Amino acid sequence: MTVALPVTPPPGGSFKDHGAKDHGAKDRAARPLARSLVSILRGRRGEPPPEPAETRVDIHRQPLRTAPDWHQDMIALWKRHPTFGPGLHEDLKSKGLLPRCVILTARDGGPLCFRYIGEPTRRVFGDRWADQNIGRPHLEDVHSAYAQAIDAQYREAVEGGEPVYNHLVITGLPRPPVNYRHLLFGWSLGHRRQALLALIDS
Amino acid sequence: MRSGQQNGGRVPDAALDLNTAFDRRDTLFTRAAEHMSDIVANPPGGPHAFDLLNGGLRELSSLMIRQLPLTTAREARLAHALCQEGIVEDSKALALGEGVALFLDRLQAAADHAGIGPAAPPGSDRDHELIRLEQHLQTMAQARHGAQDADLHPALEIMATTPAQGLEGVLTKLRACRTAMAVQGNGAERLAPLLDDAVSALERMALREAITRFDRTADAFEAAMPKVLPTKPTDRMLAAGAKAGSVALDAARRIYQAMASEFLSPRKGVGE
Repeated sequence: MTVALPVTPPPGGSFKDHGAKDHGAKDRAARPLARSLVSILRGRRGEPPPEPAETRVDIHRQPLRTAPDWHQDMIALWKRHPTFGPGLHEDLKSKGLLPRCVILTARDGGPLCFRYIGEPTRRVFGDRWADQNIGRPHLEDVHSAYAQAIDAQYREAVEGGEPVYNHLVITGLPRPPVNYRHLLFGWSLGHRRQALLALIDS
Repeated sequence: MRSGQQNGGRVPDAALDLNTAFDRRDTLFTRAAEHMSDIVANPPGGPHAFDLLNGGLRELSSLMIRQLPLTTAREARLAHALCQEGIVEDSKALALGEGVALFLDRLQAAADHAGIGPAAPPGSDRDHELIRLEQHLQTMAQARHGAQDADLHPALEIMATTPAQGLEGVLTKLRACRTAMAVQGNGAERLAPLLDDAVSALERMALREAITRFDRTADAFEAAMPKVLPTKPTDRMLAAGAKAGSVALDAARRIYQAMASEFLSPRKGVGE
């Protein structure tokens, strides 16, 4: 039986409130323009803009023992690679796990940046989004609520030295709710280099 | 370098035409080729001869790679990595053609004829000094059994203040420690700095190595990600675009590059 431990911030500290506090009236005024731009980029010129939606990310911590077998394979692989080195790339490929991964790296104290975005994530956010975000900090992602919510999980995996297993439900995207589990692994060479691998089950 | 082997009769789609390349005197490639020809005609001598020849070959193969019809960033990275590794065999497999193989053959034959072989592994000047001092210590230890502590002081002190620049230097210091310990059996206050420096140098080297491996791995992951829009279009894509738009091929190329640049440019802030 899966034990779900909610790690989503409480309503008092929701991303909606956080965003309103940070952005202020100027950004609120700019949002209709931003939505129009999004509509044009999505090829919906002339159609009314979609109703504004609040992106919400619910994250529930899962015990590792509930992970499926192929996630357990990844745990074994992570243990075989205490350093983020060339053998990891080859092993992920040979096990067929690479296409299900998102990989980010950071250097010299900088932010975690996308280096590889696998198929599950591309299906949700789109190929164009993936192409545009390679090499860019994940916190600059246009899906800012999602990025902010998931950043703490990434940090925990990188700095904690243990895999992190979560069940996530994302609502408010311009598509049906997204429901998936991810298994996060981190590597760190102090502040010089850090790496995060997310294995996604959907 | 192995060459002179047939390439299996494989004719690349757009193999580099060496004759054409040599006839055009205004390219980096032709300059590099001429430079290599000069080296072949007047083979260099001395301990760095092989490095000169090898460096010239790498430069030449790198320039040749750049003229291949690489259509994706991944291919370009692969080709660049091959050049970096100096893998001339693989460069040939990438479609350099028979002419290049013959050219490289002649270079190798000239090098063999001139008796040019690999130089000794280069060590830094400072490591060279460490090696010299360590040999001096060894000589003293072997020549004078039961050598006094004071006999080894000068060389040990110089070694302690000379930072190791590479693995050879570190190993030299460790060997010196071993020799000194065997001779003296004490004097830890003089040996400790040697060991400390050796350990520090090894740690720095290990970190550098780990960072290199890390970056190489991250680059490999990025290169493995499929791209929706190639940054460099294929000839077929360009031809189709030129035909559809009734424009010249060059114009189609410029249009594509402009579109790709716009498409791939990050749109920070949109969609908030």
